Amino acid sequence: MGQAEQRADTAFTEGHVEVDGLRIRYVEAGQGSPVVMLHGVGGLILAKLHDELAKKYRVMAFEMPGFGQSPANTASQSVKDLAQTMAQAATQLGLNSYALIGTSFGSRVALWHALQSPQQVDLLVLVAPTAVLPERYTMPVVAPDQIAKLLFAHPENVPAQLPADPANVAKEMALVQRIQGASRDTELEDKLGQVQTQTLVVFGTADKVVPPAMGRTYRERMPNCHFVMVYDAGHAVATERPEALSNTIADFLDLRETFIVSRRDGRINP
Amino acid sequence: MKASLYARMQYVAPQPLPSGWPIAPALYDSKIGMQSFQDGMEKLEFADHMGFDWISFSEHHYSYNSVAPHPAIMAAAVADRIKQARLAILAHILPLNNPVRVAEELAMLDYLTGGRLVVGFLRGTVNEDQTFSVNPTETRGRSLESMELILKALTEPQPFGWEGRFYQFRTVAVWPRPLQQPLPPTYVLTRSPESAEFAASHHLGLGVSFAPVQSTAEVMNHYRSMCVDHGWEPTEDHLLFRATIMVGETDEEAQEGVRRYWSSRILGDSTPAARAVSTLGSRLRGSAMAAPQRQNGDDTPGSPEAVGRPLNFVGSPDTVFRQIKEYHDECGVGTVDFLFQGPAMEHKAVMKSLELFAKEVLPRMQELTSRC
Repeated sequence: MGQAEQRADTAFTEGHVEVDGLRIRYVEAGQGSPVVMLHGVGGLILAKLHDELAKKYRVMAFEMPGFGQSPANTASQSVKDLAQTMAQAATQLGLNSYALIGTSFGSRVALWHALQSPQQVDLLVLVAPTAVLPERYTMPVVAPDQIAKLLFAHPENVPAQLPADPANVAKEMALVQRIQGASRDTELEDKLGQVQTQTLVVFGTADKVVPPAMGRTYRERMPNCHFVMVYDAGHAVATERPEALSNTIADFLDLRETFIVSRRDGRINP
Repeated sequence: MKASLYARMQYVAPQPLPSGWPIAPALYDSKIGMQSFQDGMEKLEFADHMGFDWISFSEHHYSYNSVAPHPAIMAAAVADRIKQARLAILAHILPLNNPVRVAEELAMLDYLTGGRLVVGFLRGTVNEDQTFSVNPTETRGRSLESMELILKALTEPQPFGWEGRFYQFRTVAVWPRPLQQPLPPTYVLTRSPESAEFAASHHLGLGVSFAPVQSTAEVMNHYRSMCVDHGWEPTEDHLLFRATIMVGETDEEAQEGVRRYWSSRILGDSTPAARAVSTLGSRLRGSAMAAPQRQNGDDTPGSPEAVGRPLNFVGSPDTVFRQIKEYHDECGVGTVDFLFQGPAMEHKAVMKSLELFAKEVLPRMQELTSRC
């Protein structure tokens, strides 16, 4: 294993697993209960969320095949396929049961994974999920220089990012468009009620990619779902309000459904 | 145009009280206090009877200017007495209140008033912040977050958690839901660009207090242009102006009333607490738009120079009507929330000014139609 990205402070180590002829990269750090993370369309970018979770958990963040430096993924025919692949990838790492965190596009993969292999997914976290979309929704398409405006509530506060490699972006978008099909996944929406896994759904209140009001649909349809709004964050919640997001997720992973009970020490002086 | 009575429970002592903040509770006489509540009730019942469109309540602490620290309690207490007018909470001082509790109170009041509630959001002043030991440097952020959370709490149909900068709630699920759907008429009372932007982006009304006509127009025009940027055009029903008023039979009589009853009782620096909040306040309030700053501890105009005349509206009924019409024509104001109660104004004098207004100005004012 080599050294992975250094964008997070924690030293993540890198490894690969082979599934269905696909070589899947992952990065890993921390000890404790396993947490598997699936990224959004932007690919695997290590950030403060990974750091924070790695302080308490064994974090394994996959780079899904067809993203980043991996070759184009022509094997996956659907998000369901990709979810199966990722479930097998986790199994190959020796993981039987874990918390699964899916961000944006990764949330669709995570939900299908929870539906197809419920015994593997102990807890489910969906961050800015795109699994439920409004009627007649189309994914907003903007020029590259407008992406920050779309993703963040306050693009002016976010450090400038290096432009993504256009070839990679084209490869990733081709995959997403091919396997995601029409923007809505009505089959998945119809099956939400079957997900028994305890689930946390998180939206930024200023999400411009998916209306945060969609969060209530998960809450309505999923029997064990909590819906949390992160104030003043856009679609990229993990970048804009990293502490708020990681604290919420960590509480949920630690305390499961009792995370709603406050443990805050209200004393000012002893 | 609509008229609102800003219903203060003013404590009018027979002898002048010291300026400053806070005022020692030892100076409070319960007999005068009881009378001030009874007088306050008479004013608002009279205003309702005479056809005022709204009766409003505000939140103030530790002073004689408005001895009603909790506007929702006042509104609940009179919900049955007031037969016609809407009841306006103008406003909860947001950084001092738990936003979920505010949402619950507002929702309850909407039922207690039979769907006649009007909602206002306000940031408040540095001295008021100290009532609940709130750091004044945080109040801008607290207000913005609180507004967002209250609106969500009143409208979100499913339980949700809230991870804010200042507020964290893992379960919010307010009962009852407001009677007026989706929301009662709601105003942000502000001159700060951030809060005006919030009002524009959330399709809320804007309220400006006590400013001269030109700077009020400036703020309201800026708000209008922000609304257009957010894809909608406000009507005059979205524009509220809170004003001081003194009506007399003649201009001279009104001006004499101002001299007698409206002597400036600003915060001053007569107590250590007042000095502390005054110094910090002037540093913190730098970014409000256009209008001059009001004084801490009092929301009457700071000085005659600030408004070009001692109060916003002073004079005979004809004069006052002309002055009000100016705000309507120049600023697009649709509702004026009138403060008739001067700091040293005994009940009889308030009632006289109020009656003159109700009989001779109110009907003409209500005939003014929208320019929007």
